[in-house]
Amino acid sequence: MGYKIVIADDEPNIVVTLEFLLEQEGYDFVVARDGKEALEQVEAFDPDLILLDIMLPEINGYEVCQKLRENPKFKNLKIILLTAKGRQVEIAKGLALGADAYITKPFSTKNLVQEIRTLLEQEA
Amino acid sequence: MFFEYLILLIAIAYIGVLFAIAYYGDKRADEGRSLISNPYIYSLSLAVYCTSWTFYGSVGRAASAGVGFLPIYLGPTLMAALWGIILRKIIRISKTHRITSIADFISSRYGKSPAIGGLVTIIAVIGVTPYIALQLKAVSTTFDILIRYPASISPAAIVDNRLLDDTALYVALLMAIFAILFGTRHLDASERHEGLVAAIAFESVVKLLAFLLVGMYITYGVYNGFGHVFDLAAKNESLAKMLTIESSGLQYLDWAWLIFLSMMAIMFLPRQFQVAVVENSDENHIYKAIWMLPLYLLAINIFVLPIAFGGLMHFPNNIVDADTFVLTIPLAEGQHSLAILVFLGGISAATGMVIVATVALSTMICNDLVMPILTRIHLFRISEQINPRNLLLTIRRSAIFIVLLMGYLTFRIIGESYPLVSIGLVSFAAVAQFTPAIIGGIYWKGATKHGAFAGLTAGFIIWFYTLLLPTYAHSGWLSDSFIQNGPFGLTFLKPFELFGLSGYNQITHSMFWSMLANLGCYIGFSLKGHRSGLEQSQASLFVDIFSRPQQSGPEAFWRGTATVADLQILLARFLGSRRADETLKNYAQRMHLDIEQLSSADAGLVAHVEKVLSGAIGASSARVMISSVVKEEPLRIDEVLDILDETSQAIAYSRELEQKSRELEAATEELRKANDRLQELDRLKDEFISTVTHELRTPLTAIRASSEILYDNPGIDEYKQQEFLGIIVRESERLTRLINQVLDLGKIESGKLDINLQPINFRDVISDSLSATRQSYIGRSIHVTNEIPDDLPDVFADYDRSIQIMVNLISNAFKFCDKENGRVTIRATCENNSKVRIDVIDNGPGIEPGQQSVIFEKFRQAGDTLTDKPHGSGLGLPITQKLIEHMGGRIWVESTVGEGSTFSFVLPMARSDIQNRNQ
Amino acid sequence: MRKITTQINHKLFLLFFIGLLLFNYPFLSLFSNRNELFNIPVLFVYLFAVWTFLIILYARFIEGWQKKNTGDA
Repeated sequence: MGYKIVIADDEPNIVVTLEFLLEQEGYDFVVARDGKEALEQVEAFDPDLILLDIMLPEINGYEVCQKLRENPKFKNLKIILLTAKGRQVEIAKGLALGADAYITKPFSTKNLVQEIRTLLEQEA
Repeated sequence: MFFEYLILLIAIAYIGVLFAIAYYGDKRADEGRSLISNPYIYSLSLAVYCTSWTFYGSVGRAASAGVGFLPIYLGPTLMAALWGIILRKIIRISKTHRITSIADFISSRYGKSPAIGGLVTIIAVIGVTPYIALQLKAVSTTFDILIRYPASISPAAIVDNRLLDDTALYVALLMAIFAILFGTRHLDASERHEGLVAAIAFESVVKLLAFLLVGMYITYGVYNGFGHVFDLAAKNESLAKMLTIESSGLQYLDWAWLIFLSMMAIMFLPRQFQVAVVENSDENHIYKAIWMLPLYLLAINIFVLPIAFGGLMHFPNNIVDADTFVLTIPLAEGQHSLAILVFLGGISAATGMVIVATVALSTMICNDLVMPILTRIHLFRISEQINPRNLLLTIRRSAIFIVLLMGYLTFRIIGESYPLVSIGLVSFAAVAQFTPAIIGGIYWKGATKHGAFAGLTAGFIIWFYTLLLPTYAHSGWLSDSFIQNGPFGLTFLKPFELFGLSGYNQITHSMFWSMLANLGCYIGFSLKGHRSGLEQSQASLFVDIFSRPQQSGPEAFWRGTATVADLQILLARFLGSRRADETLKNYAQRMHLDIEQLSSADAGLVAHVEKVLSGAIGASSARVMISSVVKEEPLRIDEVLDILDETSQAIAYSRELEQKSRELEAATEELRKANDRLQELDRLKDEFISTVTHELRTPLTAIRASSEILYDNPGIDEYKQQEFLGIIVRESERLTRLINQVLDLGKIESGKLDINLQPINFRDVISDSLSATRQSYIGRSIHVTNEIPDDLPDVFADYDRSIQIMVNLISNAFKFCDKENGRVTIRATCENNSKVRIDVIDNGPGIEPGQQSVIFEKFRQAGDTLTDKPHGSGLGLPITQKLIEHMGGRIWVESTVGEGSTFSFVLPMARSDIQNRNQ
Repeated sequence: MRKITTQINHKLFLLFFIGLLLFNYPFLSLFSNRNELFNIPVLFVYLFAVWTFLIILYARFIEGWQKKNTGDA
């Protein structure tokens, strides 16, 4: 396995649950508390996937997504927008910006894990 | 004195009733449901013919001349039979040409001559003035009799020369006010006064009933019926001789002249013309009036002779003026109520005449005398800024005053020495001078302006010399030597025996000569002179009124030039070019003309265009527009006046329209703003819901994820288990808090918040709040300073809500204060001895000036909501603000970026503390 | 309509003429004496009788004509 994942979220309690789920699946992961940190972590950690919240301090999730997609270095990076913004326009915007999946909070842990698995295996 | 005031009160109350009727009549007219448009009201309004002359004077006349009072009513009875022929024609002409008075009628017929209009007006004013004097005399005399009976029953006893004590002056002034209020309340283009007519008709009923009642009382109450009265009279030689024509002092010729005079008077007295022609709403109404007016006249005269004879026998030796028998007999019999009723009847008779006469005369004075002069001397231009309506009303009101003043002066000069009927007959004779000009005018096309002018002038001069002047002389106002010996001793010029004609009474004598001169000049000058084009056209229009199709205007007689192109442009301006073309094409088709080949338009086309335009912009405006492109004879005075009347209305109307459209624009702007505001609110609501949803989802996410993890992993180690359960508990609490806040906000906004205001100690509030928030700063290095004076006065507020406010502000301060070296100060001070101020100071990052005003809005925290993750629900400050405002306080923030923020609020002090501190 | 109007006007004109005659010399002189009818002077009776008679005829002609007219319409 050995897939690497960045968790970009500023809600500590949600981060705790995500950490548990990823750990259980055996992925490597790091946590970023804001948008800027998220970009730095992606640069440094070179993950296979990022779980990206939209309402992030400093740089919001849309912008992070856009910046990542603009950089060819990360063209294989899978992006999952994981956000409480559930309106149709918001979903469309996220997907248009190049996200691979859009999952609204509150999410089903099983679905999230399944989605992560699917995306990571696509790469292979 | 008491009786005097009672009578005044009754008279005023009665006039109040008349006003109410007039007001109602006008209102109904405005609503388009005319009260007076029926033949019965029309007939009753014609009975304005019966004035004080009839009501009091007939009895006086009968007491000296027996049946000699009757020709005045027999004449109208005969004339009525001719109304279907003559009156209907006059009405039709007047309606077609929008005639407003008898002066207007005559001048219009003779080429719209302003000279003739002015002359007729002068004759009418001078002629009718004695008649008005008669009414003043009747009302003031009867009033004096009523209040002073029996001290003053004969005319000599009530002569009173002190001006201020003169009842007649007050009567004149009151009537002037009355007439102004009635007749010139508003300016009506058609000069119709429906309310006035309604009141007049009502007065006719009152005077008839009053007279019939007193007649029956005297005939059947005081005496035993007609037979009894006449029987007694026959036994009295001085009375018995009055029972024949010959012995009544009248000759058959006098009798015939009186019938003729009254035949003319019933139509040509200005007030009769007013009610019969100008106020007429349907020419078919005259047919009912043909028999109803004579019936009315018969009814009001049937008791005259019995009353006269009864009075003469009741008051022998002429101790009582016979003119006042209807009043003095009931008074002598102690019937005061009946006397008051009679007095009211007399007032009805007098006011009806005075009001209608002055309104008619004022219209004539204004339209046919003053305005033409003003126009001629260029003092007045339509284009000038003078409001023509105000000008016209002012002239009319002044005219009413002047006419009544003249009436009063005439009364002072001749009133005392003449009986009512003699004065009235002088007026009849004046008005009869109009007869040739009118009757000739509507049946004889050959009659000319010069003929009419000469006839009127000659007749008027002779009337003046043989009737009016001697009247003044008789009153001692002039030396009466010219009556006895003729002026300068020229006996053939003696006013009562002109050219030696003697042996007739004054009226007959005067009528003979004046009519002879009038008719002679009228016919003579008409036959001799030539006529202008306009005279010819007007003559045809008047004489052939019935042979022309109704509604047809004067187009056939229009003279002038206009090009088809001009008319087309004019039409296009108001109707658009498509309809303009259609209009012209239709006309050409109908007339079998080729419009393309016509360069100059014929009269028919001009009239057609005018008619089409009228439909769009109204008749008068159409006339003005047409005359702007058509080179024609200059507009006549009366036309200018007509147009003035209507244009001023049109202007008022268009101003109203402008005003309306401005209002509409303003309303639209309001609406647009409101709409924008609504959309903004809608957007805010959407945002609110979306934010609330977002805020709800976040804790829910943590709860759901933790629960699923616990559920899916039963064998999870205890430490982890505790961690997830802790998350669930904390996030549930957060969720609960959020929901409560949203509900709070909803309650506050809908005004359903329970607030229990009472004096509370804010020290307790602060310490409770601090302990409630203690948990959130445990583990952080925050230094809390509490600067609250011990003697802080009580605040008038809700305890729980105050805690909510403080908890909110304190947790905010904890949240934002410096992370390493947090410092929060809570300070309380007293402001103005009426408020308590609380400051919560932190040393956090501060708030940008631009953000300071928005942080109290829902879900707005300092910073961009997308990049800065909110540190709370975003509802805390809005709720705090609303709670404080609800309790009569105010909250604000002062902040310097980099140094920290101070949230301050004030709340009102408890009342008892205010008092304590003020002592 | 015009024709009917003319007709009633002619009738009324006739009444006018009759009235004019009856209310003037010489007819008037026939009754200008001191005779009495039911205790009432004959001149008084005559004048009011002719008057009443005229009014009744006016009314009969006009009401009859108007009834016919509205009936036609």
